[in-house]
Amino acid sequence: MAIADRIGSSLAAVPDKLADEGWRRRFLRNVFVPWLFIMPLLLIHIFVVAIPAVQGIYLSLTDWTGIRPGNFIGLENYYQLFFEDETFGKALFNNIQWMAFFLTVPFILALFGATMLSQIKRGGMVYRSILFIPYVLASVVTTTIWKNLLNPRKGIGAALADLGIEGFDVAFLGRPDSALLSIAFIDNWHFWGFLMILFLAAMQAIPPVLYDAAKIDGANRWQEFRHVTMPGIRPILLFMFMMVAIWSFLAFDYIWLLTQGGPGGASEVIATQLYKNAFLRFEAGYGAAQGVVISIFAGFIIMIFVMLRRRGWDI
Amino acid sequence: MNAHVTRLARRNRKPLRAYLLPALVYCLLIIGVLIVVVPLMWAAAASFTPNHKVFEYAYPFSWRALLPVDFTLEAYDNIFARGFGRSISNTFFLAFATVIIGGAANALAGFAFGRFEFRGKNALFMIIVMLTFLVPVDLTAIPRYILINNFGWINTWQGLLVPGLANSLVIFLFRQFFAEIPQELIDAARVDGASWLRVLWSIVLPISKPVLVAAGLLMFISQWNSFFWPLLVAPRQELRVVQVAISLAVEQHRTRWNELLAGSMIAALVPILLVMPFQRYYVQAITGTGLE
Repeated sequence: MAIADRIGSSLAAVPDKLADEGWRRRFLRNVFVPWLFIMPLLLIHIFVVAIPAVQGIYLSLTDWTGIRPGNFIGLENYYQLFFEDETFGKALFNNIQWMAFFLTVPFILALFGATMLSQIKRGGMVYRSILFIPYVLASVVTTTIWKNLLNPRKGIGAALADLGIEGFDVAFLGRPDSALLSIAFIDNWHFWGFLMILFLAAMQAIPPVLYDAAKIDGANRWQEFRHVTMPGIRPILLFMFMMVAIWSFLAFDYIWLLTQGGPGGASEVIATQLYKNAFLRFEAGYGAAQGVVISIFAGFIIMIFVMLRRRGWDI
Repeated sequence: MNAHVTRLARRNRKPLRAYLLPALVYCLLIIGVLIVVVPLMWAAAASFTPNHKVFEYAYPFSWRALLPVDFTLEAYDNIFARGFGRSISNTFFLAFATVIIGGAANALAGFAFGRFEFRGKNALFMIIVMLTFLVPVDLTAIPRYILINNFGWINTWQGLLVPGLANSLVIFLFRQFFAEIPQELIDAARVDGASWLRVLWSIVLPISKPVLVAAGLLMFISQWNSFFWPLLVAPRQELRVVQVAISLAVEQHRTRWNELLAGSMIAALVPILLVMPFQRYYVQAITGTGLE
């Protein structure tokens, strides 16, 4: 009430006041104050992101061990990465497998879940809240619980075997052929609810009139999904495709906490190699080169999306 | 109206199908909920169970595995005796500091980006957001560690705190919200002679509760859950945070299952309790920025 009154009484005075703004006031308003307001955050970003990024690129061109300043060796780290280091190729392949998993499984689950949640009338909020819980749990928490559940002699597998369902009482995380997939399963348990909530919010923003119109036109459920729901959630869907593709190259915490890249490099990804090189093997320059490579992949994915957008895709 | 009539007509023609589909939907949702809830219930129950009985009811599996039948606080007593309480208060302190300092820095910048016109504004905004969104932590972790080390900030609060302040989602939120505030409101205060800081503090912030809650939640939870950076930069026990404490315990005491799960339960409870009542804000925050 008070604010509304004040607006009313002072609106008339605005033009005069603005008219005699001198250059000093303009300078204050257009240069000094904005930059003053931005300065704290800008300093933090320069300090936390910009300087380290530039320095990371420089370090990737040296043979720095992590202790003493290294020598400049040009692109040798990169040459070694792509042409000599076989474990890097394997790690990169694991990242690509990881990406294939996360661009499909959580998206299908989330679309399915959101579609179902958007249809029910009672208790929607409860289901939604519960399915979202794993997303707010820390990786340390999730992995601690699932390590126990996947314990072959004590966890779910043992319980199932006892019920007569054989074949699940194996060390999923300890076997080369199942380690990466098991980690992806656990990470997905944590992640897919987040996607579902995003899709659900987008679905709920679609005007109900469109569904009614589709029904009048005699559309079945699939056609309804295909021609009303999908166009509505398309922007967030494609945006999340891009983000998940980028995140796939950064995958680290679940893998590190569950297997540290093992057994025998079976679940090794670029980020776990980077961590080992930088902080355990004293090959920080080489690790920095891996960081640059990850960034280049991420940048490449963004470029693809920007180009698709230029071509008229609605992203 | 028309649609309603046809829907009714269809339901009358196929009564069975009309009930089958919702039933199927509820069944699938309940399965989904069980996949989330059963592991958490088991972990919660196990944390209240004596260690030698943690797996007792898993095979043959019975409902007892999901409820603390042999209730004891032994696990909780033990972890607090080994300094877990200190880790909790450390993490709370760190998360609150992140919310206050990070909130202030991001709100100031968000106000500038949302309300002022100045040269290079959009370019600067893109650079700031892009940098944090797209430069992977992997690339910056090593040099950032060196930088912090050069400042002598290893094993200090500053070293723990500063990287968590740069959160591009939060500045996005603030900018968007502040940009939508009616200009008249701000002009009125300016004409009355209020400084810009005053405008932000007493006009803008009081009507910005949704965005303040959302930004606060985002920063609090991401700091509460952060693990990798604290592990790297603050190995000293006095500065140990919750996630690091649990992960170290997993390595050192891997057979004290009930204690590991007790720690995990406490670590899980905080974000769950925070997000549940404010879920709407949280989701709005994420979807609002995600769609931009």
